[in-house]
Amino acid sequence: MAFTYAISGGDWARIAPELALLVAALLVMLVDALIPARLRGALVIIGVMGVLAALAGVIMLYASSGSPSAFGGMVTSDPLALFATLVILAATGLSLLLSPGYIERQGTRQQGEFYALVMLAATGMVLMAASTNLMMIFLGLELLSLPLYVLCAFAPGQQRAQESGMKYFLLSSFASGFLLYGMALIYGATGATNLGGINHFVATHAMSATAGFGPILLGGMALLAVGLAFKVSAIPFHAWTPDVYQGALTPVTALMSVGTKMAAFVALIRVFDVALAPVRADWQGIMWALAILTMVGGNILAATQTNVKRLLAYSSIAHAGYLLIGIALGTQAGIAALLYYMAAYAVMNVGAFGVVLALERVAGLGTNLDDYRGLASRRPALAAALAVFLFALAGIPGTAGFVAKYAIFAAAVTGGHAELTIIGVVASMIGFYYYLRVIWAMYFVPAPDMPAAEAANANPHLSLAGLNSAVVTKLAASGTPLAFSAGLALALALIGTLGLGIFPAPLISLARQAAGLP
Amino acid sequence: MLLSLNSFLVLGALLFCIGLFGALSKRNAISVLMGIEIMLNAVNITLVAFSSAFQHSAHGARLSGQVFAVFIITVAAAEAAVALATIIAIYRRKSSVDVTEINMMKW
Repeated sequence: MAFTYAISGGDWARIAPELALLVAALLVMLVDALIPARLRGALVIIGVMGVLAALAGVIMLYASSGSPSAFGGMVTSDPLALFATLVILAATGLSLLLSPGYIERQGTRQQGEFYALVMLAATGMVLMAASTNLMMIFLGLELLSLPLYVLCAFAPGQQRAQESGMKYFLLSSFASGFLLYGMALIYGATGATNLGGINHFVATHAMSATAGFGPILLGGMALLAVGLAFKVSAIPFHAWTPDVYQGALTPVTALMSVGTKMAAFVALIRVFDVALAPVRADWQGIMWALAILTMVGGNILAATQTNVKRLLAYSSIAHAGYLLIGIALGTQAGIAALLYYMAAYAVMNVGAFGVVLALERVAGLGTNLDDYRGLASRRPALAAALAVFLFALAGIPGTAGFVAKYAIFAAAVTGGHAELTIIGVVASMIGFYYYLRVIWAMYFVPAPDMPAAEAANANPHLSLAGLNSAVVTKLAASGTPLAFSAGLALALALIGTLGLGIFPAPLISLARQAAGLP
Repeated sequence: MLLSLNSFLVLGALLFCIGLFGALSKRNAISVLMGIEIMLNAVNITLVAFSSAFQHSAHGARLSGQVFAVFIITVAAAEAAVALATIIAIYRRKSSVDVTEINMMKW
């Protein structure tokens, strides 16, 4: 017996975004080897060009007709994959723009490797979102994880970063073990690794929890749910998130918090909400419980944090909880709301990490809540931007975060799970507390060492001369000028956060299309 | 004596539990890594066992398991390379690879 499978040009066109990112990664490595060290900062341009090329690929695929499936049903370029790709590309592009200046400040000399690894991680995220086969989901996951392990440990000589990379590796590959065992059992129960085959099997066979393939499938679903819950950092599988997010370089944290989540949520949608939809009764309870635990626990734990990076890490756990509502509902409206939420979360969360990055000094100094005291008088523009991002994360009307929360809570009510809405709203109330705490520190608490009266009318133009030398040093230390590209990234994130809040309709219709709604 | 599918599945499950116990109980980072590798190999045994049980099904069903196992072996090798590099970097700084001592960040 022989297998013949011809790969056509159309197959390659279906993975155009992945190819563009991959080529950009290889180009970065090649050019890095050829140019002198002082020019290496310019490598970010190749990365951004790669993201733009991938974006062009997505637009081309949106316009193309015909079957979206490619490579014998291994990957697809359906609207769900394309929407996820857009979100991942937005996060990658913004993270790339935030990096120049910051990574030099952290003492990184190997900038070429940094940008190449970021592009490879983005390739893995896009590939995972496009996978329609358990094998490809695993490969996409590993292609995104391996560069991220290295990126987390990237800052030279920073013990925190090495610790972050180590923890991420150990816990993530531990979770991969569960994920793979789950996949193996699902393969054993259904005889297929492609999601269409799994769906066909469970739709045509009656399942019993005690006989036949039933117990194996149940075990497989449970293990797969555990593995993916690790990846989206759902409570109780969240322990790695704060440590890894805090220790990693901030652009990496921004990319990880959005891109990995988006890819893993698409995998959850494809496996549970689509392929295993016929046996929804057997897995819905797990997702329901995970959603509640993550929403409530994430918000409560975030409220106790004193480091802003760590606070944002716990806030990202809480947001994973709101997103899990969409999975637990299993309705198309729930999936559409989840996708819109993820897009909104991408701009506001990367934006918030962008401001943290602009204020951060070497080795994670300058990320404590105390360092943000009186920020409004020292860096008014940055403080205002962070305030907008935090209001959006809290869900204040007029921002993307409000529309996203509204959509997902409305989907929960119409999907017959009003209790998830009630718990979600209560959890967001706790969320207000810690987001406002940061804003309070920036606007209403005078900076340390600075006399209150002086802080009240501190004006950067005239007050520098009158301050004592300690304060001047302090101001100089926190006054790292914002790189042009980082400013551009923050401006884009601001436009996205406010734009998606005021004109949500186009993106909502795109999300509904991705979820298969008219 | 013919070994049935169940024997292999039980072997896979036992190995997975041994690996899990090793990954959770060991303090040396390299031992934890070995525990994780045992978990992955338990998955490989399970996949190949299922694959041979599907020998009367279509090619696709039968070969998927074996191909999957090959992918897992390859990826596990890449993971081990990254992990050992990280462990060496940490060892150079701290002269220790005890995971309980890697604790700069907490709560």
